[in-house]
Amino acid sequence: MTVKELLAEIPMEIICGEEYLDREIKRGFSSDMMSNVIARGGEGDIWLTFQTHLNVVAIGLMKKMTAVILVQNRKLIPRALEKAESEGLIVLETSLSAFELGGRLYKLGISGD
Amino acid sequence: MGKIKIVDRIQEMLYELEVRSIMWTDFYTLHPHDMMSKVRKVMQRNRNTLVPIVLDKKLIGTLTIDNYIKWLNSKEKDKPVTRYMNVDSVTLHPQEPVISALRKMSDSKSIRVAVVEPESNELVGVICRCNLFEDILTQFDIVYKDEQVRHYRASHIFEDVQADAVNISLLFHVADTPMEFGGEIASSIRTALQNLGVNSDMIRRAGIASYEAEMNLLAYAGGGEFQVDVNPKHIKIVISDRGPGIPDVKQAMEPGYSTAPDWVRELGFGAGMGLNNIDDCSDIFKIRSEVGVGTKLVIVIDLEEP
Amino acid sequence: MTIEKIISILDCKILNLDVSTDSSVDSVYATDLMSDVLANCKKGSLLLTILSNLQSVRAAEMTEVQVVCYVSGRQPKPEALAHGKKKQMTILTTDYSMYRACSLLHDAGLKE
Repeated sequence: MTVKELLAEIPMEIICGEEYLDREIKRGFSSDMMSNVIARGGEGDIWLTFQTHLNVVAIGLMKKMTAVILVQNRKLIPRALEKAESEGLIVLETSLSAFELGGRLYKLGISGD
Repeated sequence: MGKIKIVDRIQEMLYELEVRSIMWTDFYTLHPHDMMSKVRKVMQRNRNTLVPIVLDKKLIGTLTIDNYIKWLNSKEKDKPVTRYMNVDSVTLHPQEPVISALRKMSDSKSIRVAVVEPESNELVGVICRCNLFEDILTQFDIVYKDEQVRHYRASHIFEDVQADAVNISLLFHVADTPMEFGGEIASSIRTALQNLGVNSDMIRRAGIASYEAEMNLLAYAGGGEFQVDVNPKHIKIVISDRGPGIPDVKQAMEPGYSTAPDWVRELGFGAGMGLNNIDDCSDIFKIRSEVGVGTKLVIVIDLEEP
Repeated sequence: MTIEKIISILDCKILNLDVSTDSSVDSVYATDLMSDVLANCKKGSLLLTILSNLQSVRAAEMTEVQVVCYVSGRQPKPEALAHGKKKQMTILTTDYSMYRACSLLHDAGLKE
């Protein structure tokens, strides 16, 4: 499933990376601990997190993730947003909690470990 | 000596304890038009072999395992439950003391008995002799806990003291421990408020606010002090430290703003929500900070409607 | 949902059980940030987290959460387990990731 197809099912706000919405989602991943994301996050992941600092974008890019979704209406800090924009990371925002969104993504067929 | 006292107390409680406080209220019943073939399922669901037959909430009879076996043995075709039910079994009233219920049950040799309202005969519960002691013990445990809480209830303390105003004051020093092991003061404050009988919502708010503040002290100030004052009107918590101070308090109050280093974030903190969480839990929240001098937080949680 | 059902859905190991497995939780909250727990987690929820230090249990205590389940096979630190036991919490672990644990419970009808 691509990010665009996902957005048709679950509308979310596109914070940046609108031009890359055809990217394919391989897996779902949910974590707020950066050490865990570094250890277990993977290429093509759609990553659900509550964190908003610069490391979110840095790790998302390092792991070549498809997109980062900020849950519960959390906002990236300005420096993180600049980096996401300039390096081409898709960032979405939703009012849903990680639990609720994870459940809905799974029902759409996005599996996880 | 001690043993006699305990027996006295148990006896007293058995007289005080009413049937309604230990009866089961959640069970299936049958209608007089129901057939005998339905009985087994109801017994299984209830995990109890007494099946009350009820019409318009009123108890009109009961079926036991004996009646059911009688029907099975008769090899008759399916019959309405009214053909096999007992209409004159012993019943209990919800306000009856447990001790008299025990006596009635043993006199009539009944193991399971229905509980009905005295005038209307409306079915309200069932009691089973085999679970009775477990149920009574559970109830004792609840009564005991209630009594303990009552014993410590703040209002009670306040009532007993002859003074124009009563204020309970607690002081806690937060030592410079690693953040990973913090939270002890917040936990102690919660316990103290519980023992004082403070309403549980207020305890939750005071606990969350204290916990966030305590973690801030450990992350940035190397410890500090909590002064907690409880009186019938409010809980007031004053937290002070001699840490580096906050250069821009307004910015620090913005949701998501954080200067936390990575090691703080890896402990599950530093998301820029601490001060907002404290604010959300307080009826009054004040913060004063001076760089190089320290920070002082004042948190007030009202216990009375203003 | 009963604790028994949660244990079977997530294939949990039980590290401490202080309540009957018949007792139940009405909601779930999933996060690794303790301030998020403090701000948003409802009383009596199940807390799913990977954070295994003492603070995971402290935050549960403050928000009156009685059941904590650690995901991705994380084991709570000894001081966390000890405090959880002291506060009569039920402590579980599952090998499923946070994402998968959420989706399995969501699928089974549990709400946030």
